Amino acid sequence: MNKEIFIIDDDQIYRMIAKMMVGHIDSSLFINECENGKIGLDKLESVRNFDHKIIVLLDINMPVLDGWGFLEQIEKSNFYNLEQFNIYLVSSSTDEGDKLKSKSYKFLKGFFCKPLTEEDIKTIIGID
Amino acid sequence: MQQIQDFLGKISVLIIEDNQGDFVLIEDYLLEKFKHINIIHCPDYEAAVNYMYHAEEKPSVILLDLHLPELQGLELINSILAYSFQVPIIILTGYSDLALAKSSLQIGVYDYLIKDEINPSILYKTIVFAISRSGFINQIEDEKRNYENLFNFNPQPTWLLEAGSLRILNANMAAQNKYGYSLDSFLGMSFTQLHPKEEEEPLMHKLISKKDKISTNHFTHLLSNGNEIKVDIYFRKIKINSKKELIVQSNDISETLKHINTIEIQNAKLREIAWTQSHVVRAPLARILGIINLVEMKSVNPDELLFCLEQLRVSGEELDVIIKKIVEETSLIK
Repeated sequence: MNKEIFIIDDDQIYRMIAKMMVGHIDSSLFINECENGKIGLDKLESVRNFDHKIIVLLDINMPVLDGWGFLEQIEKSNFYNLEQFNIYLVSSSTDEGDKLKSKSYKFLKGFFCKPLTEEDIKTIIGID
Repeated sequence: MQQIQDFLGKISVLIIEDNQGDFVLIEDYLLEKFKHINIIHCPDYEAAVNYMYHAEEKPSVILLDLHLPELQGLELINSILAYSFQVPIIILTGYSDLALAKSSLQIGVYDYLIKDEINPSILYKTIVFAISRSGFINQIEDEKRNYENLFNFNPQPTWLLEAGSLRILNANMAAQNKYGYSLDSFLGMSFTQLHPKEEEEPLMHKLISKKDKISTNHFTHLLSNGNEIKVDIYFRKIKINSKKELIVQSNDISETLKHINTIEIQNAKLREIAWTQSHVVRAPLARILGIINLVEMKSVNPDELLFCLEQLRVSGEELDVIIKKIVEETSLIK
């Protein structure tokens, strides 16, 4: 089964690093970079009817549409009950409040603090 | 009786009596009963007043004949009392002046003796009682003065109020100075007038109803110049001459509140700096750690390493700028 990964983060350098790491772990993965939640939503809309696995690495603090706004939109548009969606929050904040808030979104697959390690990425894309 | 006798120790008696015969008789009686006694004799009013003015030590008691050459009766009593020597006065009188002697007790005379009935025992008892009673009265007067001073010179603004109406009955000097009202203006006021309208009800609650324990201490007071101060109010119910009154004190906490407010604003600002900065700082830091994670991967190639090195520099410089900004913002808080 094909997999596709969406890195939604306003930090360009982070995106590049994440992209390189993912590439080293699984070079077959198709990687999408999105600067904010709005762009992420638009791009996700275009793959809605595909049946391959979609992995989303979502930052919290972003301009235009932040991580929480993104999650609200996802909930509204019933994206989250699509089985192939795997959304992970990835934040540079170590704020416990953010972690607690993320628990209210049951469809979230996980919460990671930056930086992502090789093991984190392997867990996320499902390679042991 | 034994106790009083000990307490008396040595006494001195001023006898104001123009009749030499009467004086000698009384002197005899006194010497018979008192072991240690100093007897002073003044034959007329003027000599007596003169003596009282100049005596180094005031006599323990005055025996006053009601018929002196210059002054008699009520006029004589009033003239002596007017000096308020604070020495108990016992009147010596005949049957003819009995009514006058009795009524003089109400204006400050301690006792009276009817000359024809005097004997050593009655004289002794009357003098001892008068002296010990004046001791008690002086003690009460002293305490009253002490309490008045405690009230008047207390540095805390303090009022005496009528319990039901909260009418101001007295206000000490601190209250007059702090609030800018004279005692006279205070006396025409109700304590509620020191408060803004909306505080009247909570104030009544506190001072009149019995729920004072749950109600607040914090009130606003208006000074005569229109300024407002924040105060804590404390009070006690007291009884004066069986009338219910309140002693109320105010404590100006305006300055304290201002300080607390400043500190709270400062704390909020510091919290804000700490919160944002920990987020802002963490972003480049997380990136640096991420770059290290990438570098440590076995398959990383030379081009990527070069990119990583460059990005380490960018992130490091970004971190430096942020930290400088934190230092600046923190130094702005005084």
